[in-house]
Amino acid sequence: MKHLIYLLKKHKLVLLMSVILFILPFFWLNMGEMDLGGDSNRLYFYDPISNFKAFAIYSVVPSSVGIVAYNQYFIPFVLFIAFLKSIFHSPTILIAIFNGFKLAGSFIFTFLIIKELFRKEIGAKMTLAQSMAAILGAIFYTFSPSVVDNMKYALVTHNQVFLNPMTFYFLLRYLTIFSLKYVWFALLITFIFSANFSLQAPPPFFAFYPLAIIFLLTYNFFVLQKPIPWKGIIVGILFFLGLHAFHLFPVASIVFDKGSEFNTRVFEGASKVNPGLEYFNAIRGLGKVSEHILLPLENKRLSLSLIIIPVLVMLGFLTPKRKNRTLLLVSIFFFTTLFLVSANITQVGVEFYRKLFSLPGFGMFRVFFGQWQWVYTFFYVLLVGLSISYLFSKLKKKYVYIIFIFAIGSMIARSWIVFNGEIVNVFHRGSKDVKVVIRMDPNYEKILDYIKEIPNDGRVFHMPFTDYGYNIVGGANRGVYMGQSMVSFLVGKNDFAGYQNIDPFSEVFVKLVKERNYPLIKQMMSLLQIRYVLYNSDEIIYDKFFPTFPYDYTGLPSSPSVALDFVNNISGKKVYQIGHYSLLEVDKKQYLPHLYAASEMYFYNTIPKYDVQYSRALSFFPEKPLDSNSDPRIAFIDRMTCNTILPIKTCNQNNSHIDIKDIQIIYQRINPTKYKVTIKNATKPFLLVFQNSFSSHWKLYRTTPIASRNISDSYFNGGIIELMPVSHIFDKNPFETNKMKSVYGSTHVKVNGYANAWYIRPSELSGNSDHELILEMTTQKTVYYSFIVSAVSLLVFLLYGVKLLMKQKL
Amino acid sequence: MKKILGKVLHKILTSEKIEKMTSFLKENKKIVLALFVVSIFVDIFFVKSNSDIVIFSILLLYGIFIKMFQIKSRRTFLLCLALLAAMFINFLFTGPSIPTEKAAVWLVLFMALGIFQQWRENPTK
Repeated sequence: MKHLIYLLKKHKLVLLMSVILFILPFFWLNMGEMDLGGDSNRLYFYDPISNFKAFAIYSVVPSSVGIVAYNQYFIPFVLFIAFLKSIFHSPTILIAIFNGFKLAGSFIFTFLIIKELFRKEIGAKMTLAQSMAAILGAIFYTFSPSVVDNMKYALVTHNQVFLNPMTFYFLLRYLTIFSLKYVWFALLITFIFSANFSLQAPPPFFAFYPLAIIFLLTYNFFVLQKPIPWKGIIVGILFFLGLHAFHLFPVASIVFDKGSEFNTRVFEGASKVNPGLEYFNAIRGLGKVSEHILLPLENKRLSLSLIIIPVLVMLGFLTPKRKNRTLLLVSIFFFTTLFLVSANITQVGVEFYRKLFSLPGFGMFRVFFGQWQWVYTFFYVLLVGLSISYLFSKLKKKYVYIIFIFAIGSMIARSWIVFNGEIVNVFHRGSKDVKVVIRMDPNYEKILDYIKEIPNDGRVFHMPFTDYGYNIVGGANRGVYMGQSMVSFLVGKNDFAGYQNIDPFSEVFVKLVKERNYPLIKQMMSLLQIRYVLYNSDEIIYDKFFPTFPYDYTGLPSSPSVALDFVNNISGKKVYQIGHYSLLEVDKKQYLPHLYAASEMYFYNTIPKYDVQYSRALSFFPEKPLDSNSDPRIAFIDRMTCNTILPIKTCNQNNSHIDIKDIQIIYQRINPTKYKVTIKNATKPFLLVFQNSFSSHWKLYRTTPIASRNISDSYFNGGIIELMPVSHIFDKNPFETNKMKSVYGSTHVKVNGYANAWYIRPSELSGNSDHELILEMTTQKTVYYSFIVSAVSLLVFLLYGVKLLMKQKL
Repeated sequence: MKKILGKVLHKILTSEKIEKMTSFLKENKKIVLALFVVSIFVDIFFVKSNSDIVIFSILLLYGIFIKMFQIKSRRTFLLCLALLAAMFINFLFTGPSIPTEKAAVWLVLFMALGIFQQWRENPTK
């Protein structure tokens, strides 16, 4: 760090430019305004602790039907933001700080890297030409599309724009002077920003670091001509694995689980139909070599200034020079990454690219021009810095200054949106000038608070309902939030905001909406455990202001009044209203709680053409007539699945009735991955349905009776009782099922196209008719063990840091 | 095997016809190189299809010319500058159209060739 401060003091211009770049984002938003939406969300800026509680601890996603996903990578990052929020209080300031990190961090560290690469050439001193070239390169990176264009709707991994150069710089310094403190700093950064190093969102990590490490090792061997520093590498790898165990191990542990998201991602190349390759083939035409050489910004594609840097690079190559290994090495990496990011360099190149998709995991780079853009820009910038330095070294001082000022000026002019704030103050695409930046509506905060207090775990259906998975909410400043639902990611209540959320019923829903078939829509809602409808009457979020996006395909109402009519047809009484927002509850007779015993099983054959995402429920719903059965406790089972738990003769019937008259089910939520269940008066076999996304890791264990008996709600005349959920964030007894034996593993099946069910034969458990069970997502225990490994590693890591510091002082 | 190949190549290169052709090309070096450059620009602006055979044949030919005419990397980079200009002008008027992309691919290939050439010809000290 001392070295860094020394360098910045020495390069006052760099320091001044870094300060300006850091301060700039503070002028982009007015106090109270936030830029939170996008494919992932940035709700952690608004309320990091709520986001942490709802999303980061448990391996079940709080939205939709609760698919299994490992979001623990978020923990250090979101806690770091919570720490900053406790100091600065305002989300606006937090957003500005992080945008400042992106701009200033990108600039400083690319400058330092280029400077470090020069060091080898002429010793420690840096000439004016090199200094100017390094600044030009750093500015070129900072104002490149990878940094600027991705600032709006930024994903959490966008922090890579400064993390990549920062980590690279620390590792390069380590290779240069063999000081382990640089490895320590690099590891600390990776831990705080662990979201950028996760296997859950791997492309940013795998696109940059393997190539960066190969570059560094080659640089060490080929340019520095030093031995490989095995000590640092081993220490680094061990600490990295230890510090990141809490999110790496749980994901790695399911790599061989067929059907898991990670398994699909890694091994899709080996399957008959390679989705990664198919996607690549479909979008290959979008990879443009010219665009990657000129790097135009999205809103300023045609600009004369685009040519300046490429011409300077070329002139740099025209300058006579001695053999330069660094330049050769950087050039090789530049061409490699240009090939990866553009994909369209000769037909042989394209064919080779296609072959790469047979490598395990390469499918993650299907959106090649997006995933490789950061590493490409990085190596491009190194080439820019090195090449221009040769040009400058042959020119007179005054010409260097003129070219430098002209180039910087043109880049600033081209990237003026960074200075006037239009970089984030944009309008939603497809909207009539509706701003992305919002000021939170106090009424929406109140309804979120109300939902948070609801003691049952019924799910929420949003109206308006989008074509994607976006939740759309108006702000107090007439801006609109469009991103992942606040009900899920701040409150932790599962909800359905769009077409993608209601998989496997998405296509069924579109069909039913077209027919305005309200009875069947209600039936579908009960199979998705929807208890509430959150109706938003704010005109700004409907078709009038969003005529082309994000509403069209699902065919849902396009204005507040028509939407209200729809809402009234699918729900019952209003339970809360404030401002534009109303929360309505569905008829309790129609509501199916999280756990229920099915009174009727319907058997179906999966129709191959419907056996794809979003359409699976078309195989059984609504084509299958449900006769006049008034009891909604039904379950649809695929015949092939049925054959594994019931006699073939039964499965070949249309349906089968189960007598559940006397059975009582009492359940209590301990946390999103654990439930305690009591089954009473069960003497005959029955099907216990658990309405969470199917995973073989949901397991049942026999246990002792539930202590708490505070009833939250009761359904079907006491047939199902929901107890008050446990309010602790962390499970007090996380390993209680360790010594228990799981039961009914062989009769665990998928029902209703997505949910879990166990065919329970009480006689197999014990003689009596009452059973106490724990229903648990077992991989959560891997998470707990990994937490312990990471905590111990963190402690050792911090002590090691202290030791390194003390050694330096001595 | 190498020896045999070398012998065959030597035989071909020292054959009368080849020697005649080489001397003819050397005598008309400027015209040959001008035609070569023109053929690249004709491919960029007037040929709509992409062909690897054309691309690699031209690159191979250029490789031969480098050897034959002792072309320095400086010239290759000057050609790159011309290709960059062609690409940029096309980009301004037509966006990333087929000619723009063709110019970009030519630029990348010649740049790579130029860097390799420069590496070989530059002195170590």
